[in-house]
Amino acid sequence: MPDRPEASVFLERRSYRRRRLLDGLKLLPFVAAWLFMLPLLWPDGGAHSATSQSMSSALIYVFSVWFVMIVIGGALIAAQKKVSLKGKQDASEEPDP
Amino acid sequence: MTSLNGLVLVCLTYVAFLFLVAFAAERAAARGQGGWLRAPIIYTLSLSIYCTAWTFYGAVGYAARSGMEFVTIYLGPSLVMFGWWWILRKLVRIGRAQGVTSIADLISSRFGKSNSLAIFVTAMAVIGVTPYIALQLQSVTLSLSVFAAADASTTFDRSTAAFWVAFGLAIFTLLFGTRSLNTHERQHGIVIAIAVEAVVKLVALLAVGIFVVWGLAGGVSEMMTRIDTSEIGQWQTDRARWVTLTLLAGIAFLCLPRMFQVMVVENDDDRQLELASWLFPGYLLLMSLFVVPIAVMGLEMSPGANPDLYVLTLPLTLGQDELAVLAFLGGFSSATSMVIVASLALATMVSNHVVLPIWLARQETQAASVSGDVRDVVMLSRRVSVGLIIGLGYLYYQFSGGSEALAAMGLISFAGVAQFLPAMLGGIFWRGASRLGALAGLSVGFGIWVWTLLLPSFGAGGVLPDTVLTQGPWGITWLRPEALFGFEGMDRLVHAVWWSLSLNFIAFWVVSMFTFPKPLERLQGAQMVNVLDNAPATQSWSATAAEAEDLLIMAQRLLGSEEARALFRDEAIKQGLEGELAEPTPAFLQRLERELAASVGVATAHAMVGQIIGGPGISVEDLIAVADESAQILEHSSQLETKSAELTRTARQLKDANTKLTQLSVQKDAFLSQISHELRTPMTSIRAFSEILRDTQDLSLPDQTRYSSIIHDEAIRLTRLLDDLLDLSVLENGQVTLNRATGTLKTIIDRAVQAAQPVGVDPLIIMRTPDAEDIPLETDLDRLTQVFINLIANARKYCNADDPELTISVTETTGRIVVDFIDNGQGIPEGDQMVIFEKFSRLGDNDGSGAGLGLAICAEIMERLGGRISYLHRSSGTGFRVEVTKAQALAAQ
Repeated sequence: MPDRPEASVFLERRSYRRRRLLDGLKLLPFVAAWLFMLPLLWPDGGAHSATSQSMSSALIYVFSVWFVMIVIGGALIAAQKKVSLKGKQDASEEPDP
Repeated sequence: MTSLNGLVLVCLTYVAFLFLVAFAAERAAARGQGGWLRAPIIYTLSLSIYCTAWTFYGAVGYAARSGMEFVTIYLGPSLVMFGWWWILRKLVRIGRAQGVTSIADLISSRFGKSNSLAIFVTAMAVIGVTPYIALQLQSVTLSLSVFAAADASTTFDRSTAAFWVAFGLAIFTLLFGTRSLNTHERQHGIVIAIAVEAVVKLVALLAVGIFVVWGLAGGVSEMMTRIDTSEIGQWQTDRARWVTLTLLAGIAFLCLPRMFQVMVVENDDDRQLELASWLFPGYLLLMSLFVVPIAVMGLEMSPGANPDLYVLTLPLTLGQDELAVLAFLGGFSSATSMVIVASLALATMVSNHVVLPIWLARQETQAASVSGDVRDVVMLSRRVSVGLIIGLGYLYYQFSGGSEALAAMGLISFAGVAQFLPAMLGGIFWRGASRLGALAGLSVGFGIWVWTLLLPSFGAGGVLPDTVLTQGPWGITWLRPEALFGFEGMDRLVHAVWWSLSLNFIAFWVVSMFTFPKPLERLQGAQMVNVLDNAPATQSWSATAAEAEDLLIMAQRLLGSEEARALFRDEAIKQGLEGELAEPTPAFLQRLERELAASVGVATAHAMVGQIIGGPGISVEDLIAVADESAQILEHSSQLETKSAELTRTARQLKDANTKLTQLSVQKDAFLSQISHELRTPMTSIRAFSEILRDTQDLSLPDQTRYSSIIHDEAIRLTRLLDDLLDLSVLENGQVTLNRATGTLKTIIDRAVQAAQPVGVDPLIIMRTPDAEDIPLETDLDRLTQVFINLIANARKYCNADDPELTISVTETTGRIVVDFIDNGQGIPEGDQMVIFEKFSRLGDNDGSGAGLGLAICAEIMERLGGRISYLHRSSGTGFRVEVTKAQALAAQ
């Protein structure tokens, strides 16, 4: 058996966090696309106005999703920057924790 | 009421302000204080040229006509920005690494710096963007007409107004954009002006929106109720259009030449993209936030008016003149920024890919190095192109009647430029994409777009006769522009987008699969696809120092005298050289080409450097051919080496043979004198004794007997000598007949020992292993005995040890019997070993007892018997090995 299998298979905490944040960034457009396509499943308006969505709720839905996605996107990037910045500082201060 | 003239004055003031901003920014950049100009926020704001007059006026009109569908135009780009990590990151990296100047440049550069592809893409882009520019003209003209309608003092003719708007925009663009040649040097002035305009249009739209929601409707909840009770109060969406438009907007966001310009060409680092990835969607959200409220309020308050102009008409009808002017400025900003960047991006493409190559081709071969400034040509062609492109937009506006909804015109453009997507994405993600594939995909997609969307957009009877629309060309119904392959009833746009994009993609893919890209394509492909792995540059030139001056002259014409000198000086310092002229090393040539590419595009820069270096420089084809050649040379030289080794071997053999011959010749001479001596000695004694016998009468009997026996002995010796000679000649001529008989090896050796060793008197002790000798064999027993006798007799005669000893050992191996005769003498000197089996060879001292034929005879005999006799080099004394093939031995059993 190798001496330290953990070193090659598992990442230390910070790199792990950075990678998961990156996963989030990669996934974001697909989640957003899915949410933006959701209105297609709503019942159509027209004659059956009783069952159809009102414009205001559609408006609120679309803009909320949009807004939340922007916030998540910004937060992910900020978090990632913070993690890598912290990583750099830590690396320079204490080489091997 | 604001007068039309007042409005024009406002516009001019605004433009002057923009000029000031741009000028200040360029001054700051020139002084080296332009760091903030590359701030990510500026980059994000510059992306806002996506939001043109279409967004500013058209989105409200769109919402008033089709409800929420307008938002897809902004959702698509938002998705692209959210997914920046997948596509945009790679695109801007490639843009920076390759010094790409436009989307045509990117595609041509990817596919082997192909100029034909660049021209094709440029043409497509010009045609595709024309409706878009027409849209801006239309919107500015419309907005002017609103004010004109309210201003009774002036007469307003839309057509003339559109012309003056186009003219004004062209002048504006020329003043703004065609001062700096190097498009790759960030156009700080333009970028900062766009950023300012981004803020102006956002503020204007938000102001109108806030006025509508809080000023007119009285708050958010009241607004919502109004929305739900309005004409568009129900969620009503064509699902196919929703998906298609989101997709199309996302694609167009990537492919529009002006977007490519601000997003890729003007990009400095990934930080800009990171911020824009969420902030730009935020900008889009704010831009579309009040669209529906404005549309609803417009529908409510001024039914029957053009919904595209609600942004203007609402404040105007309510007497909010200042707000109306602000809104007008917002719209004007949107239109101008789009026209400036789009026409500049297109003009760069036209001049780099169409005008300059043609101009270069018309010049003499050495055109690139003759005096005169190419920059003038480039600049002139850019200016003319700007005029041409805006002129085309004006013509489209006039031709299409200026009646269409803004959004419809914009979508036609979107679908046109979207055709670049397969070639672009395929190029940066798939190494198998080939030039022919890209050409095929682009032409198929573009053709379908023209047929199904562009031509019908002029209306029935516009360009296409009515019959073609309803019955297809020449009555082929499945080619009807709005129902390709018989699929009827689809939305015109959805129909066109799906058919053109999917067939474009398929053509691109299939042709790429079945064609083989040229080496340069493959290299560029690998470089672009692997750009994130920091692949090293591939291109290589080679030039001699003599060409450095020509290169400098050419660079001066393109980059300007000072800049070119600075570049060469800088490189010279890097190379550790004195003076101003850098060595044209491949690395420097590559750098130079990249610098030039920033001015005139990759393909042209490549061609220009190629002109000076001679031919196309060292193309990759050449490299590969050279590699082939050197492989051949290597092979050839290894063949030569083999041959030379062979020759050396042969020479050595010849030398050996020669030595042998010389030796033999010497020995033969010696032998001839020897044999004459041999023959003469017995003959002399025979003659002498026979004479004594004849002439002496009273010879005693014992004397008589003695003399007679001497004569007899001598005669026998002669006979034996002659017998040997005869024997050898018979054996050599192959006339010998073998008397095959069966016997054992033991009896043969017994006989040989007896014959060669007279009983009792001999000091030679013969050591044998009788058990091993008991091997039956079938051969010419007498001949084999003769060989053995010879060997034993030799040992007896030549072994010079004190107690001579001969060991006869027998070994049986597969296929043969080996008999070794080894004595304890001193052996045969190495030099003589070669000749002992030759005729007449006799070693060392000669007592006259042998003629040197014994071993030669033995060798001949063994050859006849199918065996072999050899000298044993490794034995302690003199050793001979006789090998008899076993087949003969077995046959006897």
